[in-house]
Amino acid sequence: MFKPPLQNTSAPRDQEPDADLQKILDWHAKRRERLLRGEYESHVLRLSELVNQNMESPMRIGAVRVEGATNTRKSFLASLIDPVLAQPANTLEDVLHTTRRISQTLQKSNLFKHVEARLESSRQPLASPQDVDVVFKTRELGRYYLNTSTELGNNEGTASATARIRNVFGGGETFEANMAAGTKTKKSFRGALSFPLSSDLRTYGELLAYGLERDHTSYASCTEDAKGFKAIVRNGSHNEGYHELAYEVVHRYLGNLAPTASMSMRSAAGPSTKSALSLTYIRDTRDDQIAATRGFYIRLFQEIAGAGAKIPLRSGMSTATTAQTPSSIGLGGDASFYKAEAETQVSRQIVDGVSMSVALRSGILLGLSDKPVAPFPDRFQIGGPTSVRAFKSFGMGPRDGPDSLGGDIFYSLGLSLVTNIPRKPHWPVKAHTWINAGQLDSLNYGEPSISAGLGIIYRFDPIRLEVNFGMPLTANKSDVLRRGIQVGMGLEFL
Amino acid sequence: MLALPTPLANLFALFPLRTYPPILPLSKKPCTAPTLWVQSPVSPDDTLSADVECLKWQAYLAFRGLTAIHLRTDIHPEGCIDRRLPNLHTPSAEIEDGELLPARLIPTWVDSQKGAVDPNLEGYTDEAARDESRAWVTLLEGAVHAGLLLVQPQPSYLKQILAFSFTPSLSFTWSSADQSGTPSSNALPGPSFQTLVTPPPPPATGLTSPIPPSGVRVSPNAVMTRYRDAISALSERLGTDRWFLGSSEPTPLDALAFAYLHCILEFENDSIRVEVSRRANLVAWEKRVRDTVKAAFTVV
Repeated sequence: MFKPPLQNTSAPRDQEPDADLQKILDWHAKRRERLLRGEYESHVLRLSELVNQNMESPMRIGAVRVEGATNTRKSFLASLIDPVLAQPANTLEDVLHTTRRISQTLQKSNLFKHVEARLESSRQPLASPQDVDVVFKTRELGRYYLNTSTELGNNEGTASATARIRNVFGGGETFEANMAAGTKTKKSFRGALSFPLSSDLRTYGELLAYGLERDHTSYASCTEDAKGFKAIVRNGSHNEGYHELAYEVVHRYLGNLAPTASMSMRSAAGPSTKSALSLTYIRDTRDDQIAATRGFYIRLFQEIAGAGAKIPLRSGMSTATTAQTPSSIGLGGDASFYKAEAETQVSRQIVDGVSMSVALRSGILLGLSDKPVAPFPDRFQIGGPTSVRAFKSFGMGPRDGPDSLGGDIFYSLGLSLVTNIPRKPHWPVKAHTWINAGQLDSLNYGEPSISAGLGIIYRFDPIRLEVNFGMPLTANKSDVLRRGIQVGMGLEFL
Repeated sequence: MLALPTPLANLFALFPLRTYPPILPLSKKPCTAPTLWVQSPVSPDDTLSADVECLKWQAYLAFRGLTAIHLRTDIHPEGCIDRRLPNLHTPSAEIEDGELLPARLIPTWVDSQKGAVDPNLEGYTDEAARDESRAWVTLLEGAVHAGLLLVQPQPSYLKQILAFSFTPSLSFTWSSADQSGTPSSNALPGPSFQTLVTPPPPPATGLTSPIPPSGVRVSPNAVMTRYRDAISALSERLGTDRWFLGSSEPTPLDALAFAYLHCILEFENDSIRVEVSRRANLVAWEKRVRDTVKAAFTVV
């Protein structure tokens, strides 16, 4: 006879709880999940075994089909896929590798939200039993994009509107138009069409038309209107770095001079045209912009503008009415110079929570014509919270009265120690102490201006905000100092 | 205003710990002599500007007896006071860089150098001549200027598109001779047909067209007839006199007349030039005055 209360005689298996009903239910749910996962894993294992054992079995690709690419040109897809198919695929292994490579290329084209590959028996009427069709089921990304935004960065505030059309002509082209109004760049527009130039999608071309109105009144008593066109060929990847070859023609107009403008700025006012070829290399392998533990950032830039080679006229060619000046060939434009710039930044963790960062920027500008100086907009300007701190923005270098005229040679060096806030390492706020040095001159050698200080960094991705207390230690008499507190916003800091 | 506490101000004053000499711009030239900023001459070695307004002031300075005036032709009007050439850059004892004067202040500066002229007669022989000079000024600035404007080549469409703040070519621009007028805050444009031709011409597109009114509809024949009449009258009035209106010394009217006559004679368009070149007295007068004006300037 059984008499209640009955004893629980079940042997507890697999740590099954015995008291709370909720706990028992949870335990069962977890157990079920575990079983399913195990089943799935064993299926995968079986499948991969099956595939691995049949790697050498003969198989050929009969056709490649891309489904769902309604807005993409067939010829463009063919140009991406054909080079991959050029390598013969005779076994299952080859077919799988080819499929993976095509899938990667499709994903790299930045046209698809979703790419899924499938192997099917070939539908071709003359197909042999070993022939398969590779079918990609894709979903294209939205073609139209419209965005309005308000941004703060590089010590200026901007409101902008951007419109983007992806895959404009069905060949992976992107058209982007942007209009912005801001505090320093008063207004700007930019229209760019970028398109792939090579089937491996490593080389892109870009045609760019832009116009902007910049306000230089705070340091050079004028405003600048620029309208230009740029054609760029860009090659490379994020890991290897990018090479950029660009041709740019831009018309600048310096005007709206302040009544107190210096004689040098008055001489510089008016229009100038630059027609230039430039070569840029950028590589950024840092894992973090503020406190990187590995990698480095480097940017090398070279530009040649104008550079007309003078061709003396033969004596018979000149007549009484033509001027006796030699004609010249070259890129044209008023500006004729060679410019080279280098920028690098490395930071490493020295102890837990403390990292050290070193940044160096330098540049040189050599005039190539009989004019002693390059036009004002092409000259270098340094100083300010994102450059040499404790000096006013663009407050260093050759100066005439209230105006920073810019220089032909410069370097700026920054060393900073970034630490976490004690007991709050997860905060986006960091403390730092820094020492900056810099010099900007007109192809002269002088003494560097040095400053030091400390402050806090607020990481406001991708923008960085800094509040610093700094003092200039050495300075040229012409430098405009910013003793005490200085606020900086920007992407790249010294 | 928030003042910095004294101890903090004292601390701040210690920095920078070391100060080096200022970095001076290499391209800057000190102002050692009065320098007139003008529109470039037709040929680089010439000292007479190709612009009527600039040439008028060159003649004015020369007529007032100033010599060894430097000339700079590399400054764009945007760099000038009132965004208009010419400007006079004068050395100054008080200001290191010298003082920059707009055209309207040039007479005051010349008066300070050479003594003032009788403000009632302005250098003319009598009041009647002074009043008559006003009519000649109006004729030159109106009928003659309109004739020049008619044959002036228009800037290319590409140039108009490229230039953000497009400034029209300066040649033959002419501001009002009113020297006491308020400075215009705007860059040129100079006078157009709307202001030069009387009665003002109608727009090129009008009420009967769907396009909003724009441009001007001028009759080239009417403008050229008035131009021819004006030159003929000018020639008759000068006769064989040494200066216009029988003055013994050059007057502001002579400066203006010289500026126009010189520009016309240098101009490539035959239809404009022939009206002056066939009048021997005007040609001879212009040549004599040209030598006087040229002698007063040196290009730096």
